[in-house]
Amino acid sequence: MNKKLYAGACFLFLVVFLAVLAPYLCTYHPVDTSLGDAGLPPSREHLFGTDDLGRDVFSRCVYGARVSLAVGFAVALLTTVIGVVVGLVGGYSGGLIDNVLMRVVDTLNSLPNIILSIVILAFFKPGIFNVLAVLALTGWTATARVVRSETLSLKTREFVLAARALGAPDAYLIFFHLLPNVLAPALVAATFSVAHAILAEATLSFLGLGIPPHEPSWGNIMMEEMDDLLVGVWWTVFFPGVLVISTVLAVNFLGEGLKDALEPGRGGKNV
Amino acid sequence: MKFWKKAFYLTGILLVILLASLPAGCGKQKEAATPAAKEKVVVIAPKYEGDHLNPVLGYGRYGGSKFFNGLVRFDENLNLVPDLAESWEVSPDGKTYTFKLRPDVKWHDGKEFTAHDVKFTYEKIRDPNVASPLKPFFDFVEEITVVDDHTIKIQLSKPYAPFLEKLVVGIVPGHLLEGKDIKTAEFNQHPVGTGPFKFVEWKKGEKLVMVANQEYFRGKPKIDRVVVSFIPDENTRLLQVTKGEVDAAFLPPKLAAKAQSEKIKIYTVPTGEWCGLGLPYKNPLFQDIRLRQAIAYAIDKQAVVDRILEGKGEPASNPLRSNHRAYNPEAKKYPYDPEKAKALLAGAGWRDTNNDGVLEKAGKPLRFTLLYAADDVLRKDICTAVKTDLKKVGVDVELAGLSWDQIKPRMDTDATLFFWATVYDVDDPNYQIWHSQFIGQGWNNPACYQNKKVDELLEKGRATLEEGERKKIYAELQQILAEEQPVVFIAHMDHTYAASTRIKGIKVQPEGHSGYLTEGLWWNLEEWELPE
Amino acid sequence: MDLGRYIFKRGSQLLPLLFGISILAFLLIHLSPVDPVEACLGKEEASLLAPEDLAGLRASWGLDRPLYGQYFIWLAHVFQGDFGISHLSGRPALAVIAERIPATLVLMGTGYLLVVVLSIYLGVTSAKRQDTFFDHTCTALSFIFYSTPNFWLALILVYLFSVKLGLLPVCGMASPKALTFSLPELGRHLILPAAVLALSTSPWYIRFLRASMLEVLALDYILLARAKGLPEKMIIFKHALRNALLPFLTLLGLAFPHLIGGAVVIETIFAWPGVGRLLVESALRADYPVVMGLTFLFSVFVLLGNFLADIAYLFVDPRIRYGGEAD
Repeated sequence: MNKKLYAGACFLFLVVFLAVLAPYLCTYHPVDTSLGDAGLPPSREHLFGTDDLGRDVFSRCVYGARVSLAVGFAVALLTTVIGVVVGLVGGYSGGLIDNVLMRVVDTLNSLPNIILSIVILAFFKPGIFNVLAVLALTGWTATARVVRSETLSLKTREFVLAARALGAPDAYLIFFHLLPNVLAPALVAATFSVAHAILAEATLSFLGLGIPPHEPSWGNIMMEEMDDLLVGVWWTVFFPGVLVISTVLAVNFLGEGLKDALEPGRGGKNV
Repeated sequence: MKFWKKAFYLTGILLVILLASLPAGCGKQKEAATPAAKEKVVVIAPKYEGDHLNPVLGYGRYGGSKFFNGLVRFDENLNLVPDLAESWEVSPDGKTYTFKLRPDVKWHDGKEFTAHDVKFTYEKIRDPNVASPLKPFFDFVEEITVVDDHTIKIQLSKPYAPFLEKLVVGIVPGHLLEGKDIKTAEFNQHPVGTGPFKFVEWKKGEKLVMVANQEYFRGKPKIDRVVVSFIPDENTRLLQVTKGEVDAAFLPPKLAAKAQSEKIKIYTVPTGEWCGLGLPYKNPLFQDIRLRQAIAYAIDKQAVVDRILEGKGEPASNPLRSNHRAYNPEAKKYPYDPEKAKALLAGAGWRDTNNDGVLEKAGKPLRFTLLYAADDVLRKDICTAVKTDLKKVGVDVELAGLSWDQIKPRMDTDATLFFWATVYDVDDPNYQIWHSQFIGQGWNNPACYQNKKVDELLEKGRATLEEGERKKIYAELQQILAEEQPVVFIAHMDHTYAASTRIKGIKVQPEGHSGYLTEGLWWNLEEWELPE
Repeated sequence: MDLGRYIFKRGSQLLPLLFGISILAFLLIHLSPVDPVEACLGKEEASLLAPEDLAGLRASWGLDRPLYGQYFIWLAHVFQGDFGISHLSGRPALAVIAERIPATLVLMGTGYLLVVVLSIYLGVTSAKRQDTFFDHTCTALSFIFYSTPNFWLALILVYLFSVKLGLLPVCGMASPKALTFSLPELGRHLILPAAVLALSTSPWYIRFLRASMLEVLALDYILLARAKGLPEKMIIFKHALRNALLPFLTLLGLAFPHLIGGAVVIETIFAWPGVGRLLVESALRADYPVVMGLTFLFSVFVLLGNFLADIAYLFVDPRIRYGGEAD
């Protein structure tokens, strides 16, 4: 089943490559206007056409990839760190601490992520760091749940019981016995949260609550240019959307592939 | 396939239940909402929906409120003409106003309109507990006296020339609001007024419906029913107009141009609205007048008008537009001249010493941040163009699209793009924007402009009653503002509307910057016609 | 454990959650740098007011009290069904919200039904025809739609069906020219938003049902049924689907957050006069009471979904009733 993994990884690598080499690949500036070239359809000079301020949509998409991918990876990192810590601590210590942590998880889960993000961003104001913070704050619960249940089952396994019987301190147990064993499911969860974060960033930027428009991201390119779609200028919305879909698809494939590779026992239910 | 049959029926039944619950939820006014046959209906789509319909709380503050009338109203050319008042007298010292009211006016509920309603309305506006946005306009009011049922006298503490035009605000019925908390009254959603249209229903987020007032004192409107459709997205509004679902709509110039056809006419409404760069004096960089003038020369204002505003506007060099009656054509202008801008900057000591394309002085590059409200595409477009223009003369601008809450604490040190409008009396809002007494008071005088002469002129302007004298005062004001560019003025804007050619009787009246149901193309809705 | 007590116990577990949500929502709003007075009056109007008038307005909104004081006042009122007065319109927040609920219910209800029908039909069929062209197409499409931003899908569908083909209306619940309510009119306006909602929500459920159908179909009793020569339809619908639906039911209860999240975006695009759009509009203009009320409403709705899923599970799977606590 590792075709998925390779396909996903290859495409993702391509997009990262584009993003990193953006200044060398783009002959046009992604933000500066050129009012004379406004609204050109896709052509050889402008692969994805130009927008209503005469900016090259391809350049904007490539630069946008930097922001969108950065948001995706940074959020995945943050959610994984928070999720692993909460899951390990909750699962290992049990009792009151676990109970409180899980109630926090439940509370966050009982509000749709997008709603929570809208409310927070509307009050704390859009901007790249607030978007990161919000997506991390709303996204870590899934990882925490996975890690917690993993920890719970590991806790009763022989090697952990043995180490504990030998008098190993809690910190040692957590770091050297539990942490390495929850990394695989955490990695899978992290991959899916990259996909979630890219989609969420796009949606928030689209609602005008994400990345501010002078820093192109896939979401806000579409937000700025959706105006033109209804009057027939389709390329400014179509191409960034296709990029989002294919990148998210690639990341999801990667996640599925990782899941199959890392957790062969659980791979049976292929959701 | 029994399962599928069951599933199908179940789906159907649930759908019907859901749909049936809908009219039940909002069918309160079914009676009134059912139209009679062969009605003349017009569907309009303004820019905003608004939150309430009570003039005391700020609805229709510049008149045109559809459900209400003020004592006076603006005509097509913004002259003040009688509305609820038949005639009025102003004492020679400008402190006493006496209004003779029309005796033939009835509220929509049949009760008679009297001077007590006028007193009630103005007292409510002045009540600090109501916190009406109109309160500052009535701060000089000392006493309101009902002389008889149709005569009212207003005593001011000092002469205030713009006072009369503040009385376009709608009068509300005292008999329905007496003893109620006007801020939360149900009335605010179901108004009863004296105006040309009677309120029928308001489905929030969807539409507001009104019907002609058959007993309107200036003659019943020629259309029977107006549906105000709320479509927040401009492109969707454009599509609805081209599809004929909406008869008239507010559209930005770019989209309006796309709507034009045999069936749809574009109306350009001049506004008093200008946009400009606030360069606050608290920032040492902006204290040099040569830099301010250089920026004014360096921006290709005509290109902004032509490309971003689609030609709907004109370049600006001072806060008054050429169509304003107090406009001073002699005031200095700043046509696009990058060479002059460069010369001014060189004169101020700015040189590009390290050849990076950005000028420096004493080792510091000429660089500043320009803030703009990120929720407005037009502002973003203008700022992007300004950045590109200033780059050409060696000024590096960093853009920051923020929310107003983020801009507010920074706007007395960072450059900010502002929109303001002077369309009625010059006093409003120029008194607040340029008078030094407002420095540090939030949105007032955001550029922290301080000029004794300007303060003096502004005060003299509002205290002087003679029209010619006032014009001279404000002419001098414009000269100073144009010279000093406390804000680098970029452009005056027009608003555009698309309306079906079936509609006759549309007249264009200059508007402020509201885009709401009360102004702009909608100001004379009661005079529109739909010939067979 | 007896049924009534079980339901009661599950129900009472919801209360602390609601409490947690209320604290979360309250803290978020009151830690924010937005000035509600300015947000509501608009910057220019607030600037025209004298400082003492502004202070009076603040006091009348309770903004001068300490944070915990504001919270308890708010909570006490909530228990009486009073979410405060909307700053923008001066009406009770509950009334502002209530009048928008039917529109959202229509949209979400239709979307939900479509999700159920689509996912059962496609999930079962592709499991039945595992590894055929149908199955592969279905899988590929589910993956693609799962990765598509719902607003993009909405925009593209509007472009195709409304702008290019002119078949369907662009926005709203009814044509502004339609002066009275009519069902076909609503139906026409409902097609696009409900389709977007269903297309962006159902892929996950299709994949899930397909997987659990495959799992069940591999079980011994199905083999036995096949060996006995029972008709295939009977095997699929009577024996397999019933068991595969068990976990699916729970999941459908958990679909509410997806639907609500989708409704927010879709209502904004289609100018649908529901609570989702109300949330975006009042959040952007800092109408605290309405945002608080909506946040509360949404979480109650989500929790109710979870609760109903639990109860439904209980009825379908009797083992839980006797097996004690299900967690």
